[in-house]
Amino acid sequence: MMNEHFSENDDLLLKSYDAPVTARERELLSSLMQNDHALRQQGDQYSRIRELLLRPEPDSFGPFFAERIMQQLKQRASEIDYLIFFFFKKYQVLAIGVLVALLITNMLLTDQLTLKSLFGIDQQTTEDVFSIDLYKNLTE
Amino acid sequence: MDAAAGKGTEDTMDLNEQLNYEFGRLEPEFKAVATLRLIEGYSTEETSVMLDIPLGTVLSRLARAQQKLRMALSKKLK
Repeated sequence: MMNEHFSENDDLLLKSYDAPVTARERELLSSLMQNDHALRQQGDQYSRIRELLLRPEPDSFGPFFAERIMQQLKQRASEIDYLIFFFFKKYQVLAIGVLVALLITNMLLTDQLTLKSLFGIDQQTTEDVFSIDLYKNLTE
Repeated sequence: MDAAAGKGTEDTMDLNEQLNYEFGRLEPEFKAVATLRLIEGYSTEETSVMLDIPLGTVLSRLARAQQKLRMALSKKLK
């Protein structure tokens, strides 16, 4: 008899989770929950089971999804730019040094301070041009 | 022998694992109702329509399924 009574209370408790209960049932359940420690504990256990079983909502995109994606992309792009800048910056000083050394070498070799001499461009005189033409005629 | 082995396994499971294990052991008619209502979150009416069974049957099967789960997990739920 006691077990049957207990089972009825249990059923009423479970019914309250899934179906509408009448005002009388609600009142009865409320009274039982206040006075019956075991039933209250069962209620906690059912709630826990249901909580564990319920599949969580699929992840939503959330507010400002597009803005957040664009922000991430911009941040990633600026990080890449930063890396490239510092990668080449290491070689900038070296490159400038080599260029200056080449310019000075060319200038010293030609013994002239002209733009052409700096860049190692030969300055051909009229004699040079004639001598080249002469050489060509001889070889032909 | 098997029961003893099963008992040992249950003792080493955490609550979630044992819940999944016990859920898998439910009879198909209880499991179907419990899956739709408790896992997928359909209403009892929707469950009733989907399984083509009366609403009262849905509620009673749901209650039995939860009672079985609670009994099986009582130690770990305390």
